[in-house]
Amino acid sequence: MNTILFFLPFIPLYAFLAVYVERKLAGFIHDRYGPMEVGKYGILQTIADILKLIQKEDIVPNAADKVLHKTAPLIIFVAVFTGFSVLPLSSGWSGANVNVGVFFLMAIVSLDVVGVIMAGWGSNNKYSLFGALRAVAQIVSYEVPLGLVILSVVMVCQTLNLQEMSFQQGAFMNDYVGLENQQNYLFGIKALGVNVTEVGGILTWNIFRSPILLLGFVLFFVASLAECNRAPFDLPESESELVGGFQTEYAGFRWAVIMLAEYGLMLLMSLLGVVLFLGSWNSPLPNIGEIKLFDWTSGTPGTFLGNILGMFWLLVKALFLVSLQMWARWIYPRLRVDQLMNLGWKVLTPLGLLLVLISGVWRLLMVI
Amino acid sequence: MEFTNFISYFFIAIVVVASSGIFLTKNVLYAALLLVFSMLGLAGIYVLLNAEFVAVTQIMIYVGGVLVLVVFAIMLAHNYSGKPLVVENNNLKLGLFTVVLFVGVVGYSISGVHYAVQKEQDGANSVEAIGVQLISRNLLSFELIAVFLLVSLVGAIYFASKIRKT
Repeated sequence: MNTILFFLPFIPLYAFLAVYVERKLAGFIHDRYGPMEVGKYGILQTIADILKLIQKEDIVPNAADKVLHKTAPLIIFVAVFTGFSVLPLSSGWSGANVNVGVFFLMAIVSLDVVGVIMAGWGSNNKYSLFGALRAVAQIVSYEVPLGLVILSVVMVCQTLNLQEMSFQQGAFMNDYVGLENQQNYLFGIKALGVNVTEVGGILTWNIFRSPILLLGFVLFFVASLAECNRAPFDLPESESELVGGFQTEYAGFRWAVIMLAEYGLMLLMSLLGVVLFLGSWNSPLPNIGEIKLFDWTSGTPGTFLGNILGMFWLLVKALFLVSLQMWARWIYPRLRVDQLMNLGWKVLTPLGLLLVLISGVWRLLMVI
Repeated sequence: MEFTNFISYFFIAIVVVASSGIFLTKNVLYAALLLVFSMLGLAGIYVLLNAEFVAVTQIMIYVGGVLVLVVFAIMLAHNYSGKPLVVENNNLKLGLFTVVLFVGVVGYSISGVHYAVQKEQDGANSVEAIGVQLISRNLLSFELIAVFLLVSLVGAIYFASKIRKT
């Protein structure tokens, strides 16, 4: 089924609300109110901003490379939007159910840089060029730990298919074609002999199936902040030193498209994090004996109720991660370029390698 | 089937147009960016041939990695004079001779191949098949490539550290 029908209207709506929430959140963290003037409690502030942006003149600098400057925002947004095609939304609404889902997403995220570098170079502005160069260096470096963490999840799940991963992390596992005889054990250790396949809930999430992936989730979250160019890794657009980084020369609607893509990428990485670690569209509540909390809160897979509840859990978890990303932005100062590289290559990458090793051992425990 | 053919020609058109653009443009940066489109078109053709894994690897390696580095190199060579880096056409005769030779050899060697989309493989998990093949039948070459990669990594680090000392 085509999840584009859901994502196409959802992303602008989400971005519209996320900008408002981010400004409010920033306000609360700074002990102030944030936007209060437009609408009740400032809720219509983003609409006022969008109206302003649409009315603005579409400025293309005289010395800029016109073709690159104009197409760059489109490339950035299309790259991000393509990524949503492989994400499952619920048990019955799986998106493009391809066997290389995770791998495809990683490739798409790196495609985003091509747009950034077009924007930075096409603007013919030194600030923009510096921003674009930083973006490339940052994303190429942080793809290594991100890839290692994703690899360790793939080793535990034994699949690259995002929908199959989702089914593995809940009590509906045996409903998926190819997983009929698989069993989930507590902490993934078969020798303990506690079968939690029918219990579901948080006990079958990947961070519980292989507890080492809890560390993996932290690494993934840090690396995803860097991939999204979010603070404390927002060097490509650092306002205080590079004016606006690669987007310095953009105005009006083209700038709005770049912002939409940035918020879209935040949602994409959060959804990926939820699918990989936090049980995807499965309810967090386990079945405890006769109290079937998991069954009550997830409906039957494939039915209308099952789809609605699946989407609800997936989006609640993903939006929680998005707000964590916003939270991190307002409490941590920006890293220096050398600190960024140190963290990426000397901390995250060795930890990622260690994680791959331990995940391999854990996979053995899951079947022996 | 009609629609699949149409999409296939669409991707082929992308590859042909983008690749022609690479040698028609004199701006090196445009050439590098057109290479991305050429690679994406190729990836599309791979998907139509049921080789999803190869397609994504294509995007991952070439678009994500090599191309970003190509653009990097161009930007570092670019001297910030405000003018784009342009290339000139040299060795036209030798180049034409090489092209004719290359097209002849490749055309001759693939002219006998029968291209048919293998429908029976549809739905089969090609990722799993590739994994099993890599670790059983092609284990030696797989390990050799890993060693080569390690050697080049260590070499790169060695050269980088050497420059810092002097």
